[in-house]
Amino acid sequence: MRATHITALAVLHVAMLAAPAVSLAQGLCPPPPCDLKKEGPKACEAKATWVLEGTVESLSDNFSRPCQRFGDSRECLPPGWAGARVGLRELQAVKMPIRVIIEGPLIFTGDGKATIESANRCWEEAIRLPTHSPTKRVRFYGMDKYQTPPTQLHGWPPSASRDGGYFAYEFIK
Amino acid sequence: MRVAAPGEGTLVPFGGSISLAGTRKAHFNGPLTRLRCRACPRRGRRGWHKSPQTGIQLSHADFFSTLLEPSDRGQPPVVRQCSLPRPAEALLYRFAVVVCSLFFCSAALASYPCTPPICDPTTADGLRQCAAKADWITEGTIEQLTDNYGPHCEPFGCSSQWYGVTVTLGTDMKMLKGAIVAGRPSDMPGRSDMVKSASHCFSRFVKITPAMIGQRVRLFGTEKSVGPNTGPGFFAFEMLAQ
Repeated sequence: MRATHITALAVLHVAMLAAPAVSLAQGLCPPPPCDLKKEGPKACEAKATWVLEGTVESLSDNFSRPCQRFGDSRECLPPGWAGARVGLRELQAVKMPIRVIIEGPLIFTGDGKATIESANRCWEEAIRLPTHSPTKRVRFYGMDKYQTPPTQLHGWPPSASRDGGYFAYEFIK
Repeated sequence: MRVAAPGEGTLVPFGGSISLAGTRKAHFNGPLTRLRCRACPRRGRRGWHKSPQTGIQLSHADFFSTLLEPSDRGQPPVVRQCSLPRPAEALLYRFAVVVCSLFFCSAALASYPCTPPICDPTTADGLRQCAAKADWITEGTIEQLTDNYGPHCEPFGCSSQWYGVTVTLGTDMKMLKGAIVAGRPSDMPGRSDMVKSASHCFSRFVKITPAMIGQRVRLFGTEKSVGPNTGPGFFAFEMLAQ
């Protein structure tokens, strides 16, 4: 009886610790605009504001632990991938409206190079480039608009409220 | 076999003389960018010749593999013999190049300059050394980190390499020794809370992982390059009690 009681308490404790983090992380993330594997490049290109091809020159992976203060208490998600910044060279614009060139979120340096960022931390599985990407030729599908913010959860601001970035990529041979 | 004369569109004018594989000299009125050589074997390599019937197109390097007989000054040179390698010879040549490349590349890799670590922070003695050799020492809670990757090129090609990490410390950051001036990321010069690693060579002692976010750390840094492939930044860290 005593052992069962202790086990139940332990399970409850683990559930209390794990559940908020999982639900927060999932609840704050809307689905990506398109799934390149399922829908194909054409569908992603149609949904993308811009499509840019380039050779990866540098890759910076950011990691952080998002925390939020609610009064006296502080809630934190587990540390994780927070986005990437990619330096590109030998650019080839597949779809590039002039407003994106002027207003961003891409930063063109004027010598055939640009720096782009991932749209947000939500779609890590789909948008995190492998670390062997430098020197590879990649096509990026991106947006320059805000995503529709998902419903706030427990007062947390939506994660997917960044002003643009790439939401899908594919390697090109 | 005669080389096409100037004006036929196959010999472009330039002056001077060229030594041909140390054997003969040929005088030209123009750069020999194209010459006719009907006897040459057909080669698939682009830039050598268009077709065995119509002629060959030689690059500057290929030019030296063709023997030309000097002719009267002012006249186009005469091709005595085409010494373009036959397929079997070319194959052997390529094999030799690959073998030599592998040998030299492995030698280059073996001697790839990487500065040894400045100190070993995993031991108490090592930590004392780190503190003594550091231009600055800082402490703080890791809030964010950025892993940087870029191309690393060798004679046989390029691959990706971890270049370093940039660590963002929280507002509790405090300096224990010196000041960080050059050891900051170049694109964030004003951020007092950002520190970069000194070198990928010290990866064993500077590789802070995402799992360490939220933990307190002490960083030992240098303001100067301490050897090949190094620069200002932290060269060792010590995890602190929470």
